[in-house]
Amino acid sequence: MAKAVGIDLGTTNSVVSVLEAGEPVVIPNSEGARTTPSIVAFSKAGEVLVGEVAKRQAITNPDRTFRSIKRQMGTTWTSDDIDGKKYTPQEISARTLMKLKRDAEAYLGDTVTDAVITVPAYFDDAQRTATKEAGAIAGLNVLRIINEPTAAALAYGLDKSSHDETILVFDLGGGTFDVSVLEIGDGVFEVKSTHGDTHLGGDDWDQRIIDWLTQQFKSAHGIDLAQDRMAVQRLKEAAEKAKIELSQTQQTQINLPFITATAEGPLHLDESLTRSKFQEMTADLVERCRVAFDQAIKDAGLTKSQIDHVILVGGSTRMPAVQELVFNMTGKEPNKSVNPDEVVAIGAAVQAGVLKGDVKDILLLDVTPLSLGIETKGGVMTKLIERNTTIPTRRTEVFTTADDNQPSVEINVLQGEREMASYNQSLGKFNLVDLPPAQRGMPQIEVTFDIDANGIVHVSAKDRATSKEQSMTITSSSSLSKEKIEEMIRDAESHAEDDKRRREEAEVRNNADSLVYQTEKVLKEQGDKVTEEEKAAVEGPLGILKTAIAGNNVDDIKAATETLMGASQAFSQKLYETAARDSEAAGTSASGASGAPSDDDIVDAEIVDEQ
Amino acid sequence: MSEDNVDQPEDAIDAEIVELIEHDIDALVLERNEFKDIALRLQADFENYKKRATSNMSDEVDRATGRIADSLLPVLDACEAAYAHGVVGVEPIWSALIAALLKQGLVALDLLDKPFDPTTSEAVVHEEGDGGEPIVVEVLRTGYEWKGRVLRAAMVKVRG
Repeated sequence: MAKAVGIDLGTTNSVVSVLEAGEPVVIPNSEGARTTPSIVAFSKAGEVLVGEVAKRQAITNPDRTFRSIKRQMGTTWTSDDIDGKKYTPQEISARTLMKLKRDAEAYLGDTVTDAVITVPAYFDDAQRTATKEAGAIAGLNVLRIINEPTAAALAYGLDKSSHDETILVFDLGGGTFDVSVLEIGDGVFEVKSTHGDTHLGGDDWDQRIIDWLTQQFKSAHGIDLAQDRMAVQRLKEAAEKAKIELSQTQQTQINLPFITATAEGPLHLDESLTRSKFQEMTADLVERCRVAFDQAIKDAGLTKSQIDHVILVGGSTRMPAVQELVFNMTGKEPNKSVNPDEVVAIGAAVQAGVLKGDVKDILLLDVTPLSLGIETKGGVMTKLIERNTTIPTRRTEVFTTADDNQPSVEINVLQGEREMASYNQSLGKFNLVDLPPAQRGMPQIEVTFDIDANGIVHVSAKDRATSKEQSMTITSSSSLSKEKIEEMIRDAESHAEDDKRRREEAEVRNNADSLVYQTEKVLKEQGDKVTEEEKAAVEGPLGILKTAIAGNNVDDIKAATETLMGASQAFSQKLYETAARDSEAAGTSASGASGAPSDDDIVDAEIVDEQ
Repeated sequence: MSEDNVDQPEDAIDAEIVELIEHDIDALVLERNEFKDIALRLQADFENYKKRATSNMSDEVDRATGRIADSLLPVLDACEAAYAHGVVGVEPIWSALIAALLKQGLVALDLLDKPFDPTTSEAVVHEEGDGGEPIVVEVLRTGYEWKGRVLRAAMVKVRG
């Protein structure tokens, strides 16, 4: 099924995104990167190179390599003659689009035909038409050209608000800076003003660090690294890395060993850069942002208090100084939960989905807000369906009985996130009766939870032996308010430690109980095969464990369980030895897989009879 | 109930009822087909997604381990540079490090004197040649591949 994509065709980098089951997903290119440099080159052999590859050969082929072609869109610019043809900006942009299309198709395993492409809000008719043409040349059916700030707002779902709102979009990318003020009303976006700096971006911040490093090195060693191409390249990489690190830490180390060499030997660069020093040396760049911001607000005829939402776009908005500026200027915490490098493409994909009618294909599905399960031995809740599972859904687990000859099981249907049943909400109880007499752990009771598309829960319990079945239907499982649900989840998180401890205790008890049962069984059935002493060696620890279980000290139970386990294993060993002695075959090895009979069947928990 | 109906022959009433039922059936069939189509498409989409998720997973793992390998490249660079400058005692450490990484999937690219290929190398210095094919005349910093993908392009000097 052909997919519709959203494309952010940027000056420096481009991104493509697609809706997958209603969720926007950014598609990596053939090199595995989520953004593709908007660089196109025609190699000497006539091959078309796009992206990182084009970047790498740029200096060997400057006349046939084109960067930032977006700046020429809508003009009459053409390239020089390249193998008999002069290229227009849209023909060059089309090559970038073709790579994005091709890589998207390879990734999705599906054709990509329809696309929404974004443009700056200040693009005029000629520029928009050129962009559309570029799409057509690339073999795309351009569903619509939308503004970049609008796309960003769509990515945050800001078109869904019920009343008119004002949105400020702060877009600081690799090479350009744009501030836009949008107004949304009745689902329609209007651009009130846009301002910016077409030559201000992350690269400028990098350059400050490069200049500083070069200066430091010159002072220390009297050598100008700017003359050494390779050193410059390494400085560039290190500067960008340092800038990025300083968004996360207060200080970073820039270490470039063997950066250059003199007659005396190699020289190393090793500098420490603090965030405050970095902000000091780039303060004027931040000031340029503030000036553009002020102008945009003024042009829109607003005061800053009238801004309802602020959105950050572009990787450079990750810098703390920039975020601080935005906060100071607007008094609002900006929306930045969506990756700022990808938010425009994501918004374009959302728009593509709406235009293509993808939403129609999906019946909007619900999720269970809270986990569902039953109460099992020890008062714990055993979950069958985790919260946030998409419905409709169905899950079956097999349980068993806790006592010998247990005649029935009680199914206590629980909803909630706590480990212990009593802290969760019981949605209802029912019993499955007339179970045939059997040792505990033998019966197989299938418990099925089935939630239909309306959120109605059907719980059934069926005894595999008799095929007897009992069930109940719960309609009110989704009637909790959103606040109540969030409260329950928060509750579970804050009690997580406590709950875990209680559950472990219950499990320790259950294990101890099982061990007692098994050991008594073995003693009864095999007791006559061993001596009184050997029997006593097990009965002693058995008694201690039984006492511990009756008590309240979990550590005692654990210790007693281990002791009995050891004694029990020794006992089993004896049984095997006796059996080996009794057997006639000489050379029968007396080794045995010792250990208490294990409970490793399909059953993972036991249901008690509460009656 | 209108008086008129009483006068209509029974056949006519039956025919009307049948027509209504057939109309309903048609509508239901249409709806059924619509839902069947949605179900099939979703199923197919899901199958495809699963297939992609599995192949992506192994890709992701390679990329994640690649990031670790990438963080060690400056160490390899320093070793290489130190060795080139005649620093004593670097070679055994460097060998050990690179041997360990080679075992995991790292490949050092051998590009000297070969035709310049931007998929594996980045030209930072360019010399005019005699009009022939661009050739790598110096490798300023080694390039590496990780599990078949270029991890870091080599930094090279190109002539041509």
